[in-house]
Amino acid sequence: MTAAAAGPAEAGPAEAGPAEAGPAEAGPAEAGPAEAGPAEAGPTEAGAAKAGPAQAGTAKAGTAGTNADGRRTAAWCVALGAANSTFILVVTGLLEGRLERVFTGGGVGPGAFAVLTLLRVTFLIIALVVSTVVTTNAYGIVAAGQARLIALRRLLGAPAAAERRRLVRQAMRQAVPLSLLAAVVSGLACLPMVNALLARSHAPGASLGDLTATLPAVAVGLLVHLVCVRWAVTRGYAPVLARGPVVALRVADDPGHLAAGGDAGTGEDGRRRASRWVRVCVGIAAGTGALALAAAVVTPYAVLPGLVAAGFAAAALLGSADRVVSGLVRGLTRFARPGGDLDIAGRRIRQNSLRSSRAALAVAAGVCVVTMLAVASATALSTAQGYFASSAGLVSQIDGIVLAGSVMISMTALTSALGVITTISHGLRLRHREIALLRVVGQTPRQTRRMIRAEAGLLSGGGVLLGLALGVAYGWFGAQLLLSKASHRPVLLPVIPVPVLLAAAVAAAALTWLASAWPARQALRRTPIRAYLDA
Amino acid sequence: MHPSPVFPAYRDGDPSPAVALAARRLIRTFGQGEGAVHAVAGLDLELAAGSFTAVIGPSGSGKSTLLHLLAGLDQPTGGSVRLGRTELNTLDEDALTALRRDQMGFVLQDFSLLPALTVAENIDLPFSLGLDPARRDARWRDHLVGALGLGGLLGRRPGQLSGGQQQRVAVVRALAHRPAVVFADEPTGNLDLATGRRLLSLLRGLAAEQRVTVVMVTHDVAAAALADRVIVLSDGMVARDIAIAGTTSAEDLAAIVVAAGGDR
Repeated sequence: MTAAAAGPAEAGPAEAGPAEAGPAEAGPAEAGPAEAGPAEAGPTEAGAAKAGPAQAGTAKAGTAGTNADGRRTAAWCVALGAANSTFILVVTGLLEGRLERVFTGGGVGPGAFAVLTLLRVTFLIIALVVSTVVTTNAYGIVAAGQARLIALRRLLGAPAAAERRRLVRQAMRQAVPLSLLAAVVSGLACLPMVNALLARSHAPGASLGDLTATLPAVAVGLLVHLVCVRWAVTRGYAPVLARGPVVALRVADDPGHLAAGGDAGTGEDGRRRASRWVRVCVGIAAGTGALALAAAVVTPYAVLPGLVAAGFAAAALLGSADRVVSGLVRGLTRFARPGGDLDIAGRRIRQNSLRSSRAALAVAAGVCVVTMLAVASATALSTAQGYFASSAGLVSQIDGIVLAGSVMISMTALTSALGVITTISHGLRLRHREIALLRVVGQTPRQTRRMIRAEAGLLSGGGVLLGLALGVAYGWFGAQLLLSKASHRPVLLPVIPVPVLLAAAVAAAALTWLASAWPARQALRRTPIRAYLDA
Repeated sequence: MHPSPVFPAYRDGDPSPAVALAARRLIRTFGQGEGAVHAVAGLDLELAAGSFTAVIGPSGSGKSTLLHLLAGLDQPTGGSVRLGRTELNTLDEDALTALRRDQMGFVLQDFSLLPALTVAENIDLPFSLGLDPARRDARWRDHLVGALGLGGLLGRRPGQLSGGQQQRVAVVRALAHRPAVVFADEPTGNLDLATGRRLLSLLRGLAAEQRVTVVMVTHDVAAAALADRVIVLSDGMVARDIAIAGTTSAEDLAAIVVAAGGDR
């Protein structure tokens, strides 16, 4: 696995160590995805349990259910990721050369080629990061379902490295054909879509021949995608493989076991290494970012160092996501009643900060891409309208870019939505036992539902805030770099289109809410002790 | 030495009925048809208030299932359970949960602590879940913490404790709010001999001095021999019901249990 191929995610070892990382790499909170055990019983069994009889074999059926769920989710993530990167590469590839017609702007602004390259690289990186985060979660679910089996195999003599190879091979055997299929479907679907876009500006349509011309780029994109998938697989399985077999068995049996106690020892080293990486990334991002901003006054090609800066900033964020999300949640629960629902929810999130941060990151990614595009385009439009005498050309050019951009982020937003749903519902499923325990000790169903809602609310709140902040920053940064010279303004004021951002925030919150409703119902369906023993 | 616990469940009518807990024709069946397992098969039982009862029997005799049913943690397939004057199956889930929280304490078989909370917070969990703050009794809690050797561990998290320590925390949590009935599933299972003895004498004292009704499931005949009464379960039915009163030795008890198991 090469560093470049893995994208920015590679840079943050806390979230993201290379596959070969030693035990030090496995932070304590990473017990997360392994925390499974046979979690879920199918709805029929659950109903029967409440009614009275029919219980035998529930646990077994539960394991199978979780695993099938996880595999299906993983398959969707992989396919969606492949489709997305293909989509972005094909759309930008087909538009290339026809752009003068689409963007009928005059001589202002950077060349169409630069714009297109920028869009292509930016959106591709975003798509890869989002789909990698989401895929990692999905494989975390799969690994959780197999945690016990894997731990037992290791206990009986299968070395961790061999197990890892076996599991990766297994996953990739599914991922490669699936990605190819998704890429073909997505690539073919691009053609009518791009032609519709071209017809809007009376440009000649693209042909099947043009489509084949994009093949090399698509192939490279797919390869990078598959490298990311492979990394996600090793990452997802890491909690089950990183520790000794006995510990792995205990993790499989008792979800919470390592969550707190493992903090000492192994975690520290990884943490320190991680924060060093994050500091390096922040430094590079700040340096190149400042350079880009300075250069933007002279040339719109400042976007190139700007892209580097944005990439490293994203890497730094990914590397410190658990701490950032913890901090956000701490802030959100600052005034919560100690020992109350919100307080406990907040602490549980912080306790499992790595797993929770993934859920929040999925929310943040979706909100961020939408916000970024909205802010960038609104800022660009207002700049164009305000500072150019004949702005019609530029406005139309920006319109074209926004349209193409919207099409391209749609699938990334979809991936992030899938990520939100899977991480939230998965996280809850892993905690069936904990929820059952609370019920045993005296939590009423109403309190349980309130607690789950509080947790979902905190996660989506944190994610939305993070996404909005990032999106506004990135959007302004992009507009500033591209338009500073053209508008002869050293600093562009960011324009924040409130309705769009509000819509994105509400959509993300609603999604989180919905994603937690079903598992909450499932958790409450059985009697407390059944839920506890079967979890 | 300590004030008597409150028994709100008994407040309606007789302040301390002789029977704290009663099971009638209690049935719990798992599975259906051929493969059905009758874990509890039409069992009748009455437990006196302030009694210390040990439930013992071979593996699969339905001990834990019985405990769960008595505690209102599981729904019986048939029959009923009465706590004081309250029929458990007349309550909805919210009311049943509140009753459990207010009246009962549990020590589950494995370490049932929340990893995100400290030891002190785990102990206080029933209070965070809405238990009447008036029931809080810091002195009693500190006494329990001291008696079970957990002093100095209150700020730790469960993951930093040994199995035995975690189990003792669960015991303190079950007793801290002075419940009317305490259920314990293998409470000495992870404890060393001395600590196990300390816990048993604590439970005995609760029953004798504070009229707390204690029900303990165990495999350990030596532990069971310390109870007032031993129920030997076999195939989901009461095989023997022995009033011990400190006269039956562990050896005699073991012989009785083996004999009861041999009935199968």
